[in-house]
Amino acid sequence: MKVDKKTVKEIAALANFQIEKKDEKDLIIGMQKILEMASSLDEAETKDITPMANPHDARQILREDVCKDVEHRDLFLALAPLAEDGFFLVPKVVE
Amino acid sequence: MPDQTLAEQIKGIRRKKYSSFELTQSLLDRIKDKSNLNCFISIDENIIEKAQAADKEIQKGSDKPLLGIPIAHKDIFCEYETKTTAGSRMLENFVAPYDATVVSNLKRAGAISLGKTNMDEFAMGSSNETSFFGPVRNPWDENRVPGGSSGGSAAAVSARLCCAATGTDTGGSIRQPASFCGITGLKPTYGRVSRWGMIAYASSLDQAGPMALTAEDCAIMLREMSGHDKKDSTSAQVAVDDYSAFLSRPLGKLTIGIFEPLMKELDSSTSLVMETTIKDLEKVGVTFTEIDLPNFSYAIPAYYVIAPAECSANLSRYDGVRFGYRCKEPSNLKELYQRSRTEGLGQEVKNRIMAGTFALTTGYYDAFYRKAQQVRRLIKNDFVKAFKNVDLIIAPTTPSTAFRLGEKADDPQEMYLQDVYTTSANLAGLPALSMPAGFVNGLPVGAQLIGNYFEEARILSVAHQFQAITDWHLTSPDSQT
Repeated sequence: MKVDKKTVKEIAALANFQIEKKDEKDLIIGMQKILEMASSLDEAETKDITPMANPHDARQILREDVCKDVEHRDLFLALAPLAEDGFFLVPKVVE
Repeated sequence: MPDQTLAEQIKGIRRKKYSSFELTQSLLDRIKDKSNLNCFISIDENIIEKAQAADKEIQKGSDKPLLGIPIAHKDIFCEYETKTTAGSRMLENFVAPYDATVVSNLKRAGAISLGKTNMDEFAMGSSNETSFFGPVRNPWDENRVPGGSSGGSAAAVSARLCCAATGTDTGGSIRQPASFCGITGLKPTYGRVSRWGMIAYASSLDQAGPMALTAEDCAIMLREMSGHDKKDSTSAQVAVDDYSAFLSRPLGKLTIGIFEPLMKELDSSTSLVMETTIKDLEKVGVTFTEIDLPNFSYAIPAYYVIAPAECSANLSRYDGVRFGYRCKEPSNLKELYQRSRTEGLGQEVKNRIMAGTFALTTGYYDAFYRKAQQVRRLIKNDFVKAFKNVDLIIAPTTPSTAFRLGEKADDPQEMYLQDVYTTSANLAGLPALSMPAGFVNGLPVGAQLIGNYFEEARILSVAHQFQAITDWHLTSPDSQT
């Protein structure tokens, strides 16, 4: 697997990164190194082996469907870099 | 006082040999003297008041197990109204709105939080060099790294800036720095300790654990940190042992497995340390037998697919809108997301997010992510089979002693190989401890004990009995100079 500029640009768009020309080389090398290591997995015999997502093969547990009073709107809005009138502020998306 | 272990400090305060205030003040003085180590990102401004409040509780006869003991938290644990940065510019000014369960459990036990320790950015690194707040220096040789990602916690305990600290371990981040800094560190079974309020890196691998001078201290810390938490659905509903009570019990007929290929990879000096450790363990009644872990060599590649894949999903939350770093004057929403993430995250974090995003894309998902998850099961199956014949497994913790600052910074692959002996326990979800086992050229070497699921008591007991007949864990960097 060879990582090139085109791959880096496509993946950067998916990962929501803005890639500057000066960073391209580092990202190509960084990704390439990880993927080179990963390629050795090809040698492992995994026919009929069920993928393992959790060490205990645990399934998601459900809590009782009880509504609790957890109104923390102001607390969490206070963490936002920009907020106004109870809303997060972002650049205009609708003209 | 700062030189004492956690168990000794508990006795010192209870027997009123010194107050929590006096202990805290002496630690603050020492932290100031050792500020060049860069162990802490922040110190709790109210720590003296908290120590004085603890002293009042002690006067009233409170029997909280850790009352008035100053401990440090890796800066990955949210602490109410306290800056929690995860070593990143992204969270440089983030003030946590609640306590992580680990933090609240230790507070409930009476511990007071001295401050937040430095770490690799979002726990991604093995040298503490990826921290936005600068690297931590190893107390044994300040030109060397303390290991990572819990490097600040390891160096702080080693330099006697606190007797115990919390850490997290996704691929070796408690054990590798514990080995490099000559302290004891335990990664518990996955699910033993709640992950609520612990900033996520790779959720199926992340686990919090104690870092301290001795196995006895790790036992005290783990008891208070552990337990089921309704807020973390992956936390285990398994009773918490009284780890301290197990420490000195006779080991009985206990067998430790050795996977010989791991020992053969070591240089002669480190190999000698491991041989001596095995002989010392034989003195406390342990017998050894060879085991086979045929898929062990796939642990690093599997880890470096699964961890980046999970981190690419976990770190998608940092978008400049709800919390964390926000770029200046974005012209549109897309630019807000992209520039905030690009400017707020460091290079290593970006590399891993990129690799993980790639591994999860259509066309490569089966070849990378699914394949890695299949290999993960093979690795787990090898351990399950091995534990039918042995009680514990011994292995080196790291392939070398602490390396020089900058030595591996330009070679990520070399850096990733630091985790070669540690990642398999994370993939399988097993508990594993690193304990000081000797020195090579004046630098500490750790030995690793891997146990079966939820058998932390057995690991701690063997480590404690090893430490009863050795003194590697009590040798301090100051005593070497």
